[in-house]
Amino acid sequence: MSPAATPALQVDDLALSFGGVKALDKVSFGVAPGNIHALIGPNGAGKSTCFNVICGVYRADRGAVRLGGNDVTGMHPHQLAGKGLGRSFQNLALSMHSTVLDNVMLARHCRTRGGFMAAGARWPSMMSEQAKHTARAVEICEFLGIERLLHAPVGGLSYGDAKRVDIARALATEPEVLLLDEPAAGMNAGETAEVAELIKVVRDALEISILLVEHDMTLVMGVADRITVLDFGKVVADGTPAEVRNDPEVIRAYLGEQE
Amino acid sequence: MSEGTLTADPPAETPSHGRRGGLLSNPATLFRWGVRLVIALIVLTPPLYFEPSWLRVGQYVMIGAVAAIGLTLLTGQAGQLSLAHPFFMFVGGATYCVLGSEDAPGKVGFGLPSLVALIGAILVAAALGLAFAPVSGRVRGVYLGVATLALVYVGLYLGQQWTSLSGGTASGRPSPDLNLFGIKTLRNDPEISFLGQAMEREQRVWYLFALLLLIAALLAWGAVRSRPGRAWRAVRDNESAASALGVNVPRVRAEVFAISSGYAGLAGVMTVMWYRLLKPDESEFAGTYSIVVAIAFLAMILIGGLGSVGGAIAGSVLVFGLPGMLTIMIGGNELFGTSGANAITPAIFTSFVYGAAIIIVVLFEPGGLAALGRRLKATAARTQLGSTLLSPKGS
Ligand SMILES: Nc1ncnc2c1ncn2[C@@H]1O[C@H](COP(=O)(O)OP(=O)(O)OP(=O)(O)O)[C@@H](O)[C@H]1O
Ligand SMILES: [Mg+2]
Repeated sequence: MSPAATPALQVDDLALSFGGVKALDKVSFGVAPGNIHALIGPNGAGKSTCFNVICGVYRADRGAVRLGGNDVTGMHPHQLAGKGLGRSFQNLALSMHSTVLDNVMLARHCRTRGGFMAAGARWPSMMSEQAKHTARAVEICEFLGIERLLHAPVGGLSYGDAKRVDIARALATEPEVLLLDEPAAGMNAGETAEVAELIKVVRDALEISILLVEHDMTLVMGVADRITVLDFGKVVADGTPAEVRNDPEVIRAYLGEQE
Repeated sequence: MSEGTLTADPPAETPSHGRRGGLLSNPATLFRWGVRLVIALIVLTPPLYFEPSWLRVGQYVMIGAVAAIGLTLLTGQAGQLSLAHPFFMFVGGATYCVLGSEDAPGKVGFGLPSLVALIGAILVAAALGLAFAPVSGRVRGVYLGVATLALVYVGLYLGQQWTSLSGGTASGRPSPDLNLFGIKTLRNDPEISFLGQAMEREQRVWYLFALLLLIAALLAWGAVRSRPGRAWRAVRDNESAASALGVNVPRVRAEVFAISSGYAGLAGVMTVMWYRLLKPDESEFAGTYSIVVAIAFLAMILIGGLGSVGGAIAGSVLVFGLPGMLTIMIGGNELFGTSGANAITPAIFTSFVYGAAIIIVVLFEPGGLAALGRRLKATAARTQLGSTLLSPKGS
């Protein structure tokens, strides 16, 4: 990566306090295009808060979020989806009674038009647009290996398959930057390895940037190109996995805590 | 990421959506047309053979079906509980009368063409539903149900006070006739006969209501199966996920409330035409636009299966149809003595029936009649003949 390239995602000097707790304190880091970037830190470090600020769920007291050079600070989550930010959910957050295809097609909402009357009357232009987007959603499901489940309700899927639906849905927003919230949470070693593989495949095939918030160190060390470490709302380290692993600050703040 | 950057193999075959086959080339298509034919017969033939009193029961069922479709979109698809449906019905009915009647002493009327009044009534009800967005956008679940209940009281109060619009509780005001491209509905003008049967008022109203219900159901089906329906279900299931995927949640919530109110408005117009009168209620607990009716609609969509358009129609057959059918069939007998305070009237008997139906649904089949239908279809599909008829590829 040339240092001159505009980062796909850049956060600048973010600060956010909850009452007296400084959940984020002068947090800055950038995700280079095509990189898998991990955000790690011990419990309560501010990872989720940072994630939520980037997604537009929380509004920072100070600082800016830039997406591919555009300032997106303070935008609503639904606006960010159209700006190239996709996210997956830790608890999946899928519609359990709806089919896989229905769940994935939801991600095409902001790219399509047509309200109640047009949809109700099956307006031809809307139907052809829908067919086009359905084909794309099917393509994304095939890419993630869930095409045989297209018409199955999500409620009956295994956790691994449901995770794939979640990622398919995030990818169906056609993101430039994909945010993954603890994708390996609640998974065993085998499933975690599968997710790690999936993250790499997604990045390589789609050439998108991925920001990963994760607890699982083996996953992070295995897939991340770069790691930012938070502790008490501050960035305490930022570097390659090798650099971070040997950083005394990180060992004290994060790895030390695990003993 | 730009579209088309996926390196995975392209789809081996185009997905089966929007598949079009020759009508007779495919058993599944044939089956679907068979179902449509049966429905068409159920809708088209009764006016030729049934007594007007039976036709009126059917018309009433169709009113309930239109209202229940609107409610099942809002509550079943989008997850917003509402008891305000009778209010929006009243608004629709009153607007229809105000727009469609000539000015008369003590009663405001705009004298607009009746079709314009009908569409105006739907739009006004929908607009009021939209105006409720600040509440429906903030309040969730049961609390929203309670908040919407307040509107029933607002309707009751306005109906009683604003007599220049509502006609007042004593006499009400007459319903404008619906003139559909020169054919009047409530009068035999012009005289028509169809297959030897004179088309008089009840036949005309039946066909008009069937047409309105058909439009209402087709629009709802189309919406449920595409973009708006996906957004509704997403908002129902998880607002933050919907939002992260690009759905403007407050807007979707407001829109579906407006749409649902529009359906209630149409049902209100139909109600006024059915009674041939707009008459505000005297009590919030008994009457055409009362809490009891709000609960009846909820019963319909619960029994039919939350979110199911076909289920809403089936629910109305039970909840709105049963009292009328019982009255005709066993009207004056000893069980259904209609006099005396303790008599079990068909209406009371029906409320026992649908009360029991709700309990059965909640305990045994939360998906309601719709799920039962799906299960029957699945069972049929497992049989030899059924699999030929129902398999999507018709193989
Ligand atoms: N909505 C909130 N209201 C009040 N305090 C909050 C809120 N969200 C987070 N905090 C506080 O901010 C700090 C950072 O929390 P955050 O959830 O971002 O940490 P985290 O790194 O995600 O931790 P974990 O690994 O446990 O998920 C914590 O002290 C937490 O108690
Ligand atoms: Mg967290």
